[in-house]
Amino acid sequence: MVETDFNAGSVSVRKIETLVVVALRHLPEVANTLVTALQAVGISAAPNPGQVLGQNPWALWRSPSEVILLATHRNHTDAAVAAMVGTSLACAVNQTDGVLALELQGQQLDDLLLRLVDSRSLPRLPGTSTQARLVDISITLVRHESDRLWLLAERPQAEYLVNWLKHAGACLEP
Amino acid sequence: MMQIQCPWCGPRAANEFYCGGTTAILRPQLDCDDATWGRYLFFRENPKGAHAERWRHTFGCGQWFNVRRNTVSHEVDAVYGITEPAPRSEP
Amino acid sequence: MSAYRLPGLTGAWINRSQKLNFNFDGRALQGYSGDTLASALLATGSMHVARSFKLHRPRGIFSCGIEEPNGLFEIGDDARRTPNTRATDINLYEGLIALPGNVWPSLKFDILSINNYFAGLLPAGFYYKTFMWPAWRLFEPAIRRAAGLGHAADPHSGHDPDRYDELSMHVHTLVVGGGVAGMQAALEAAHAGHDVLLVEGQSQLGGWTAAQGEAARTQIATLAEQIEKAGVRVVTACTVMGLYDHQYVAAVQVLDENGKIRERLWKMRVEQIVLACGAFERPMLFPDNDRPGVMLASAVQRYAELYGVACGRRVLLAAACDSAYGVAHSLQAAGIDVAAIIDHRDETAAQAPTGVPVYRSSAIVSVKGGQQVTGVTVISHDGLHRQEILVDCIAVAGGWTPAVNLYSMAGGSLQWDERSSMFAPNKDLPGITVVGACAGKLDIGWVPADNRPTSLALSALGQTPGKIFVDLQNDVAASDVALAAQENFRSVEHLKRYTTMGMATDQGKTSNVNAIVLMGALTQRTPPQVGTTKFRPPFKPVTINTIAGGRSGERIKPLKRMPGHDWHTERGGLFEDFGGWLRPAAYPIQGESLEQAAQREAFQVRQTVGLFEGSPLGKIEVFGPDAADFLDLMYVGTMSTLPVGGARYGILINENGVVFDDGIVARLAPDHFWVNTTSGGVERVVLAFEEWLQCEYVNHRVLVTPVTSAWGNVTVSGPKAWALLERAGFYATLAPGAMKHMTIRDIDHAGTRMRVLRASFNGELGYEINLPAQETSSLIDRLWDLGHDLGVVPYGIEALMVMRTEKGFLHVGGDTDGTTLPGDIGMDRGIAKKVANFVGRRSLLRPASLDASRMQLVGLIPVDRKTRLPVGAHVVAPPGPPGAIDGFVTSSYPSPNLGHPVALAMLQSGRARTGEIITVHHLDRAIDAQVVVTPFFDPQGERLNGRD
Repeated sequence: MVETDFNAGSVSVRKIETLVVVALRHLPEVANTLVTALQAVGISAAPNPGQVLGQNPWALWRSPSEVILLATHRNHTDAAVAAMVGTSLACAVNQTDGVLALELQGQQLDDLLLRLVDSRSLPRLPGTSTQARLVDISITLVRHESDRLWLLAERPQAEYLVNWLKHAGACLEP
Repeated sequence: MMQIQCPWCGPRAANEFYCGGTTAILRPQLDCDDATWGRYLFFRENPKGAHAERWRHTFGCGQWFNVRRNTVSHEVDAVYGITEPAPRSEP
Repeated sequence: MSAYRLPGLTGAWINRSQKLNFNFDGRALQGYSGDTLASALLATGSMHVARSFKLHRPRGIFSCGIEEPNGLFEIGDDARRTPNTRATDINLYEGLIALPGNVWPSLKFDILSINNYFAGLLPAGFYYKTFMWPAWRLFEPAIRRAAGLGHAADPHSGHDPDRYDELSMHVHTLVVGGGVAGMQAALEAAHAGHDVLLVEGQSQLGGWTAAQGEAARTQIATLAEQIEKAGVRVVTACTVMGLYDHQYVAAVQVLDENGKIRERLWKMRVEQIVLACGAFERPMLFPDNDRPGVMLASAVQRYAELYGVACGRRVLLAAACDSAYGVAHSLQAAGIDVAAIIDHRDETAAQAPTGVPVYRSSAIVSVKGGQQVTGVTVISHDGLHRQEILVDCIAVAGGWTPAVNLYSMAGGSLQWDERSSMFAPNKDLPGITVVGACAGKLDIGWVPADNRPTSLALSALGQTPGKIFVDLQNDVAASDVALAAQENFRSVEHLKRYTTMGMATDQGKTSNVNAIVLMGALTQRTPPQVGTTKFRPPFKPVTINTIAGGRSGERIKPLKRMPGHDWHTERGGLFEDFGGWLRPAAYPIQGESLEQAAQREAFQVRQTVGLFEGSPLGKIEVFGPDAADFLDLMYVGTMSTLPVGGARYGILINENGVVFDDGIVARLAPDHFWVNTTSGGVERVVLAFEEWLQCEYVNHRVLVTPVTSAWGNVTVSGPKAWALLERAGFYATLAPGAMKHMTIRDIDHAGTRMRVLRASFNGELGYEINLPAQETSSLIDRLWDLGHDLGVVPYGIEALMVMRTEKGFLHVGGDTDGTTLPGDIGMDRGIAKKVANFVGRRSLLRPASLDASRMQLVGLIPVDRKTRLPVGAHVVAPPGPPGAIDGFVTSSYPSPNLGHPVALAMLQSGRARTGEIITVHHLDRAIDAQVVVTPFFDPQGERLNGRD
C-alpha cells in the first residue's frame, strides 16, 4: 500500500493503524434498538446529523438509517453489535477492513482541506463530522480539535487520496 | 455551481448531489397502453419556471429529497421530503 | 517620433531603482519593476508590436488593462509558453521572453499582410461564401496555418512544470474591484459587521482614480489604510472571472512569477456581492483608427501617471466625451506635448489646458502612417474646415462602457442611458449590488452615441477613406457591420456571429457598444432596440491549467487498488484500468506479449488451477423482512425462491427494459442477501436500489449496505481448485460433492470469517472466497505457495475474458449496449412465469421488444477457423456494404482450449439462424463466419464439478 505517513505542507498525516468501523443500520421503526445499542457502549442517545457523540467509541450520524461507530478496538463496539442482533429491522455491518483512517494534525488543517473539499462540507467545530466530497471521492471527516481531524476513505482510494493530500500540502504557504 | 440545501446535511455544493429529474411522476399500471407507457418514460414537461425535481445527496448522506427550483433563475423556493406533497408556492 | 520613458520620478507604480531585463521579438530590452510588459515596451519606443488577426495590419498597444485587443504576445518558451496573452496584463519580470503572435516571418515584413490588399475579398462572413468549391477541406489546412494567434507549448517540451492552486471558501461580502467605489463599499460592509473580502485585478488598489494625480493617490492610500483597519481582507492581482448560480464566484489570482504557485483559483460562495468593476473606455470611430499610436485616452493618462511613460512625443486627443480634457491636463502636467483636442461635439463645459487648441464639431478623417501614426487630417462636420496636424499618438475618448460582464452573467438586464450613451445595469439583483462607474454612475456629461465623421467631412477629404475599425482584435470594420445589415443579419445575435465582433478574447470590451450603435444607425434603430448579447464567463482569458488545478496525471480520476495489489505486482502483473480499478490484464513471463500471456493463462487454468482476485466485484448486503420481495422487484428473475445458502445469476434492467448490470445474488438467511454486481457497476446498482426504496417502495423494510471495500475476493478455479483449497485447510463441506454449484457458505477458516460462493465465470469448478479485505493478500499468497506442484497459475482479466467467451457468457457493457433487452441475450425464460412485477417489466411488452427480428446474441466461428473476427466488425446483408446493418461482433478471442477463434455477436433474429454462414466486414476485409450456439467449450457444463 502507498505510504500513508507524511507531511502535507505543515500538516502531519498519519494512518490510524486500527480503527474499528461498524455501520449500525436500522429502519425507522426500531430507533430504540439503535439507542439501546449505543447505550450498551456508553453513548446516551443517537447523534443528530453532523454530531459526534461519545469517546471510543465515537458515534457519527451517517443517514436517517445509519450511525457509524468508530473505536480503537472491537472491545468498544462488540456490545453495540450484539444489541443489534435479534431483529430483522436492524443490523450491524462491519466496515473496518474497507476503511483507511488518517489523522491530520496542524495549524493549517483548514487551509489544507479547503483545497480539496468545498468550504460548506468541512466540519468546523470539535465534535462535528461530515460526509463530503474530496475532489472525486466521498470521505468522512471527524473534527476532534481545531487542529486535529480524522479523514476516513475507502481503502482502494488510498493512492488517489494521498496524491491529492500531498499536492494540496505543497500549495500551502508557510 | 449551485448550492443545494440537503434537509439533513445543510447547504452543500451541487457536485455532491445527483439530480434525478422531475419528481412526483405517477407510474402507469402494468396494463396501460404503449403510448401511455412511452409518455411516462420519455416525455417531460420541461417547464420554464418552477420545476419540482428530486435530488440525492450522493457524496453525503445518500438521501433523496424534493426540491422546487426555477429552471430560469435557479432560485429554490422549496425543499421537502421525498414522499411529501409539494408545498404551496408563494403567490 | 515615438513613445518614451518620462524623466524624473513620474510613474507611481514603478520602481526606477530596480531594472529588469526582458526580450521582445529577439531584442534585449530593459524595464522597471512595477512595469507591465506593455508599459515597458512603450517606454522603449516600440509602437508597432503586433499584427492583426485577419488582415495582418500593423498594430500597437491600445489600452492599459485587460481590455487590450492588439498587444497579444507569446510569453515564455518551452513547456511554459503561453500564446495570445495581453501585454497589458503581464507584470514584467526578469528574463521575460515575448514574441509577437500571428506574424511570419517577422513583425516588420509579415507576408500575410498581403491579406490587407485583399481585404475586399475578406469581409465579414467571407468564409461562408468562399473556399467552398470544390471542397472546403482542401483549403482548410492552409487556412488553419494562416489563422491562429500563436503557438501553444510544444508537447515535446514536457508537462507544464508550474503548480496551480485552488481554494474553496464562503464569505459574507465580496467586493469585486478595488477602485474608490469598491473600497468605500468594502468599508461600509465592514463597519456593518460583515466579513468582507475585496479582490482587485490589478497589482495595486485605486482603479481609475489612481491615475488622476498625486492627491488622488493619497486619497486612495488613506482609504486603503482604513479598509485594512476595518478588517477587510484584500487580494490583488486577482480577477473575478465568473459569477455562477447561487452566488458562486470564481476568481483567478496571478502570483509571483518566481514563486512555487503560478496561479490560484478562488471558488467562493458569497452572501452579498458588490460589483465595483469600473468601466471600459469607448474608442472613437474614424478611418484607420487601428494604427499603432492610436490608444484609449485613459490609457495614455495611466501610462504617464503610473508607469512614467509618454505614449508619444506629440499627442492628439480625439474626443466625444469630457474625460478627454482631464487626460489632456494630466499629460501636459507630465510634460507631454498635447497637440490639440478634436471634439466631435459642438460645445462642452470642459476646459482644455492652456495652449492646447480645441477643434469642435470635427473629426479625424485620415491617419498618416502605416506602421506608426505620423499625422492626421481633421475636417469639420460640415466639410468646410480642414487641419493637417503632425502627431505620433492619437488618444481616443469616445465615452465609457460600464463593465457589466459579471452583472450580465448573473442575469441582470441593461438599460441605455441616452445622455451618456452607455448601457448600464438596470437594477440591483438579489444578493448583488452594483456601485460606481460599473453602475453607470459616471459624471461625464453628454456623449454622442455615433462618433463617426460625417459623410460631408469624408467626401471633403478628396480621397477614399481608410477602413473604420470597430472590433480591433477580430479586424471587424464599419463596412462589415454595414454588410451584415445589408444581408439582413440585423439582430444583435446575428451581428455578433456574422461579423465576429465581440467574439475575440477581449469579448468586445472596447467594441460591443460601437458595433451596436452602428447597427442601430444603419437600420433606423436606437441602441437599446438593437439590444445586447449576454456575457459569459470567463471575464478575461484564464489559463486552462488553473481550472484544472491538480487534475493531471494520476490525480485526474480515482483509480482504485485491490487489497492484494502487491501480490500481483510480485507475480509480474501487467496492470490496466478496468472499470476504475487497477487490475492485472495478465502476468506476462519471459518477454511474452499481453495476448500471449492471456492465451497461456486461459489454457493453463483449464488444465490445473488458477488464482484470480475478484475484490472489485460489487458486494451489497441487502437485509430486512422485505428483502426478498424487494429483490424480486429489482431483478428480471425471481430471488425470493432462493433457499438459504442458494445463489442465482440475476440481470438488472432499467425502466426502459435495458440491461444495465448483472451478478449473482446469494441468500445468507431468510432476511439477508449477498448481492454481487459488476466490478464497475456497484455504485449505479446501489443508486438504483436506494432510489426505489426511498422514493417508490417506501414501505418496504429493507436496508441496503454496500461493502465492496470491506471484503476481498480470492477466486480459485480450475479442475484442481478443490484440491488446492483442501491443501489450504478448507473443510470438506466445501468439496464439490458436498457443496453444490451456485451455493454460498458462511464459514470460519483459521479464525477468519469467510463467505465462500461456488460460482464460475470461466466455466471451471470455481470458488469465490469472500473474506475481510485485509486478509486477501495472505490467503492468495498461501494458496500460491501451496499450489506450485499443482500447477497453480495467476490469471488476469484478459484470460478471464477469453475463457468466459469460450463459454458464451456475456459481459454487460461489452456484449450489451443501451438497447439490449433480456430477450436479446436469451435471458427472458421465466419472465412469463414470474408473477411478481419487476422494474422494466412493462417495457418488455412493447411491440419493439417483442419483435422477432431484434438483434440477438449468438456465437460466431470464422469459417477458416483461423481469422480472428475484429470486435465491432459489422455484418451487412448481401451483397455487402453499403447496406443495412445485420449485426456486429461484440467479443472475440483466439481460443487456446479449442484451437480456433471464437466470437460473440449481435445478429438480427440471431437465434433462428444457427448454422448460417454470414459475412463480417471490417475496413476492407470480408470474413466469412458461421453462426453457432454457445457455449463453444464444454457445452454441457461438465467441467463445473472439476476432477481430482
